[in-house]
Amino acid sequence: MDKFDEGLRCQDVHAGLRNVNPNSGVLVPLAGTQMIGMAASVAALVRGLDVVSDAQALRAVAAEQLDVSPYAFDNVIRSLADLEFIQGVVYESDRVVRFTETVPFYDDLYGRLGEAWREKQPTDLEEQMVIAVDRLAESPVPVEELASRAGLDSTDLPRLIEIGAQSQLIKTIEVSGGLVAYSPFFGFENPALLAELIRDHGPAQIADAFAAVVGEQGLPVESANKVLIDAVGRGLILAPAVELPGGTLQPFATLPYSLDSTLLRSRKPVLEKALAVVACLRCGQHFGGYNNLSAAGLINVIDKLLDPNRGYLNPRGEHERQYRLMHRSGLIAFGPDLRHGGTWVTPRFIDTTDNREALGIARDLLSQGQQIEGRGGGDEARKILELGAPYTAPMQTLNRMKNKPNIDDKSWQAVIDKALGRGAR
Amino acid sequence: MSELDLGLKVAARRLLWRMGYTTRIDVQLRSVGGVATASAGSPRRSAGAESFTDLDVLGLTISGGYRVESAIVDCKTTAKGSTGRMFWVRGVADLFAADAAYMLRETDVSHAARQLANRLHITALNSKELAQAEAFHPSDLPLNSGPVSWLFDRDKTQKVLHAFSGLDGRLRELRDYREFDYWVGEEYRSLTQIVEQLRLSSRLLSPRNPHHVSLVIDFAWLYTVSLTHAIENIRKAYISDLDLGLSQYILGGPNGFSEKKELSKMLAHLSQNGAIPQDVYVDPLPSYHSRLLELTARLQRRPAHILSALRLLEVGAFTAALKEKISAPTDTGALYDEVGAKLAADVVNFLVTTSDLDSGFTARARSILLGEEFVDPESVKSR
Repeated sequence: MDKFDEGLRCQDVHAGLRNVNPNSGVLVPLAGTQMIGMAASVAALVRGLDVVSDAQALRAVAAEQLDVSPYAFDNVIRSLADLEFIQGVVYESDRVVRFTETVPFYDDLYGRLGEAWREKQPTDLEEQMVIAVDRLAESPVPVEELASRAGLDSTDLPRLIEIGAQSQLIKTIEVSGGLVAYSPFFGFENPALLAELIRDHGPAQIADAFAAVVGEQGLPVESANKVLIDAVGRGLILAPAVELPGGTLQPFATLPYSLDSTLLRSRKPVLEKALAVVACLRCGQHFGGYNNLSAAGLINVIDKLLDPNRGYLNPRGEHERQYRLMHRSGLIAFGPDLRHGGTWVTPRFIDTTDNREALGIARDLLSQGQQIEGRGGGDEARKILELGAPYTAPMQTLNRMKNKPNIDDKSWQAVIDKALGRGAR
Repeated sequence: MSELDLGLKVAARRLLWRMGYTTRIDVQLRSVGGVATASAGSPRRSAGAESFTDLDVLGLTISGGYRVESAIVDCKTTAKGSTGRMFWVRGVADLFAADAAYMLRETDVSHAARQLANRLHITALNSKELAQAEAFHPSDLPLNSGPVSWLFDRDKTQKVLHAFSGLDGRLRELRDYREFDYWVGEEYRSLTQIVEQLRLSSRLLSPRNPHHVSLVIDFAWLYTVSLTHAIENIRKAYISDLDLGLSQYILGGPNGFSEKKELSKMLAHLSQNGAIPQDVYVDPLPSYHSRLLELTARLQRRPAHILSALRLLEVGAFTAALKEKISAPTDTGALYDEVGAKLAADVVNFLVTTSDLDSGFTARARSILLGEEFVDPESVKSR
């Protein structure tokens, strides 16, 4: 696992432990990881404030909103100070009263938290828990396979599962062949159905199918994909359907992974709106014909709707069909055609807090899918190779003709600094 | 520098403060040295730096869109030659691209000079009129009590100017950059040059020397001005992509960005083939780019506090040069702005960490700007 994932999963661990009684002994073996997770949550909360002049008010907000125990608050602040995310901590009678922050906007916040977690020398159990949480973020896994798939020590597995279950970080379900572990952060409609599905299709097929959906949220469910059809048919995973040009309904499979448990329960309508957006846009991406949306185009549509100075899409013939699901969800209204004499509809965003949040979630789900595929790096590498080729030969020739001058590193650095305009003068 | 004019200069400084500027006295403008010249019959040789002129008082303020607006003031105790001097002031204002120009005379301004004032867009004032102009700009800042009032005290100003001119001779290059080169070089290069200039002198600078502390805080003032120029430039084209905007800016615009990237790729290729040692850093962007990006983002988010940050740095540098102390940040009265002070401290900390300066400079600056208790990092290490 890289440091970014480690930092990210520490926050997952903290999010899971929020459901556990803070005085429970279960928390003790995971205390260090939970501390980093709390630090991540507080860092995200204070980023951009510059000066926190009433740290006690922050202590209350962190306790209320982030489940950061008031007793752990001072240690969280100390951890953030060690990371140099905050400075100038002022204490009064051992209580933190004030500090300034420089939590990075662009630098890798989770990477640095992951580094800090490593430096704190996590126990074997903590390491294994973070690895397991990371693995289960991809798909459910039979417990007996978890050790091999996640590279864990199989002798420690029973204890890991037990503590994971107690601390609400790992859920298990009984299948005829044994236990299957899954993440509570997945928005499964009915986890009990998972057992039936695994029994009928086998754990490997289920893991592959689910990992594909996590890799592309809003994956079109194709008739050949029996496992996915079955999972959608039984109601295990959500797959909003959009009408295609031929009149048939096409489902788009989604498997949201969210640390916000209310989004999976009391605020589920917001999540459902987000999934409707994902489905409508994927339809435009895969079934839009010559008007197919590009990957960047998906995000562009969301940005146009979120833009308070715009908030609409230009009318097109297919919009009424393609965005009907978003219309029915109350996300958009169909206004009259903007063109004189036109007969198409103009999708207009209905600007409410819930609708904004839904579009934001949809944006994350779609862009995360793109990032996992990692296409950018490949293109960049190809470009470098193409550009590097023409000057390789002359440089080699020159090298053969002349003796290589013996110049030390420092001199080279000075030459290069000057060439790149970084020199002092 | 004529000491006779200093009284007028500090008076002009006070007027500019009332009008919402942060200020600087005696800004020297000179040519770049080392440029090769040739004349008939003699070989090409390098010329030394030559003085263009100096600005008696410079005022800077930040208007909407992060635009740095400037005002220059020419101060003389006699009225003699004030008519011709008006043309000179206009020329200097144009050279410096100043938005406003003032000509200040102790006794009187000639009748002809007053007729030229409107035509040349210069405000001509005598000492009495200066007092009237001040009265038209009431201020809630504590201009009559220290530490802010020290800026307008002739003797203290003299002392501070001597403190900088009397710095260790080994710091001459750093001093020259601060005094001359910063003001005539391309603006975009300041963001990297200030760091490099400080780095070159890092071993000579000690946080235990108040004049060195003042120098570092003053460099933070210059750096904040440069960052504001950078933000003004970046937001014109890349308000939503600060990273790209900053990268292009510090490499001299889109063409420079493209050229440096290509050059860097060639150097990287040479490095891979062993022609250049592997450890040599060949990236087109400076190694501290990510930290610079964070700092720029912080300032960009707080346009209303940049001027406060600059004024607090001005007072902080002045106070340190006087070897005086600000007992509490609130001593600066209405000037104190905790977000502005924190941004100022961020700039100091950035310069300290990127230029490999002693971390004691950050502790000193935070003590001056934010009123934090000063803890010498050296004493902590030795415990």
